Amino acid sequence: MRNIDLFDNYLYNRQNTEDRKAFEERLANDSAFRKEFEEHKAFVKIFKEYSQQENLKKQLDTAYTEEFGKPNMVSIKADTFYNRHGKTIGMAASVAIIVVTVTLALLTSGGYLIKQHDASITNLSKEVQELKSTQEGIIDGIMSVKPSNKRALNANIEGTGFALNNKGYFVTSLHMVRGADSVFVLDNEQNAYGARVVVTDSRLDLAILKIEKDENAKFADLPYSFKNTSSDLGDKVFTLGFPGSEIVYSEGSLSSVNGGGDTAMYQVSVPVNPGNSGGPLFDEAGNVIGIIKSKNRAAEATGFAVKSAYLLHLIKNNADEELQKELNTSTSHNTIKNLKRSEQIKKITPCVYNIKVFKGN
Amino acid sequence: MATLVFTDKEYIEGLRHNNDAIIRSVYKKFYPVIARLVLNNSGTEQEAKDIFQETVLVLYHHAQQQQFTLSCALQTYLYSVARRLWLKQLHKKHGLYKLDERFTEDGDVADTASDVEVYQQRDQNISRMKESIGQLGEPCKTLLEDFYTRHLSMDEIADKFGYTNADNAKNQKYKCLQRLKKIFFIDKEGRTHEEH
Repeated sequence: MRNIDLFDNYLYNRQNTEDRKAFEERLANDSAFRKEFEEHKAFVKIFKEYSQQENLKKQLDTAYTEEFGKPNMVSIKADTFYNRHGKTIGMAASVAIIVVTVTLALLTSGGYLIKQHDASITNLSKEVQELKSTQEGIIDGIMSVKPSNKRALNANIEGTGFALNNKGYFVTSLHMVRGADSVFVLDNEQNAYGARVVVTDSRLDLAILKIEKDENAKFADLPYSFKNTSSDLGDKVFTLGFPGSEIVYSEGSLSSVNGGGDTAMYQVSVPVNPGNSGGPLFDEAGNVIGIIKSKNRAAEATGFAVKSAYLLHLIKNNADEELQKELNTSTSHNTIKNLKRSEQIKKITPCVYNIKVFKGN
Repeated sequence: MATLVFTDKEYIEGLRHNNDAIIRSVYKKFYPVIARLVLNNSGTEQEAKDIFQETVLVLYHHAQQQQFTLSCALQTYLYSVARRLWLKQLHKKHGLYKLDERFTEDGDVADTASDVEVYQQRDQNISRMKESIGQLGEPCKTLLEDFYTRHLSMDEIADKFGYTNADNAKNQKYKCLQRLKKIFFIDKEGRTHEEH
């Protein structure tokens, strides 16, 4: 048995009295062993304190939002979207759009967008952090008619998602929608639909969304199917996503079936950028084989994608029947497998969506 | 909705156990006073929020120690800690507001100065841990938390992460911990670290 296992068994009371006694004796007699144990114990203590502290911070954030930051901005958020789609244009809301758009444009031209940590693997959602206080000032001033809440505009995340069936179910990355106040799904004609998160898996970083109300919503039949088996090293792959406001195609090949040492992930040599998070990864026949998750910052054109088999497993175990029934996992029922790439893309595009997320801080 | 009133002891006990209702109530009851302190002393709303969080974290840290007792009212304690934290920050930001013993006489409650010191020194390790875990990523982060913080058994972990058995989960946990230690200690020695 490795020393660390012995240490943890002792620290977490997972051994019988006899082993415990033997362990304590060894601690008393073997000073090198004791030193290693003390070091391990100290490290675990830091880890535990860190993780407890993070949990408390999250609880405090929630408490703050609930007690002092009621998101009464919801209607304004909805307005900004409806404005974009030609409904009533309110001046306040249009200023909000300009501010948001300008900030996005600045960030998209500036390379990497996630700035808060130096991890070499970057999640690919576009994150618009706090707006400048002057901009907030403008919005506040104009919005004096409505109850305003600055916090609601603080975070704004965009990425990609794609349809799971024609009933208004979508999949995207959990890191995009975690803690969201509201999630919107925009199709390629810029129609926005409010969506709610119905299933999540933090280990896989996946979230399944469902369109809130489908009065006028009509969704295309899926041309693609979901592959339930693993793809092979060297397979040609491609993805579609929204690193900007327009859909963007990129391709490459499958470079590892164990992305970043994780058996649930592929590593692909596909250039992906912030905004690609949650996008579909296809094989040459147009079967979904994965969901784009992150990229390696240190290496050019190295992306990671969660394997589709894990998504299917998640759906099978957690999603409602409507979704399970309507999921096409038969690769022979894929209607685009014999088409050339540009034709495939034309068919797929209507099923790939721009996801916009608002967080109330 | 009826407002719940708790005693200081209940606040501390609830905080110790991460009780959601208590934490919410702590915010509701004590935040306004501390926000005013920061806002009236050239702070922003965001800074007020940050100071309050840190104040609660100081209390949380010390409340974890079994021998912790309050020598004054909770509100006095929190106010004193917050004041100290905010003065320190102002001092750092502007190089003004000299922090000397006068502050201890002038409003600090006994112990809070050392409580803040102890917390902040320890906080360096915690920050380093935070960065290291950021680099470690998933699923290791959740797996280690499940074992070390949430005290799940290896069987439960195997089940949750889809490993075939507890031994596999244990191996995975071992690898994750080794990687985390490596990142943590390499960073500590100030060398650069590249993954892959």
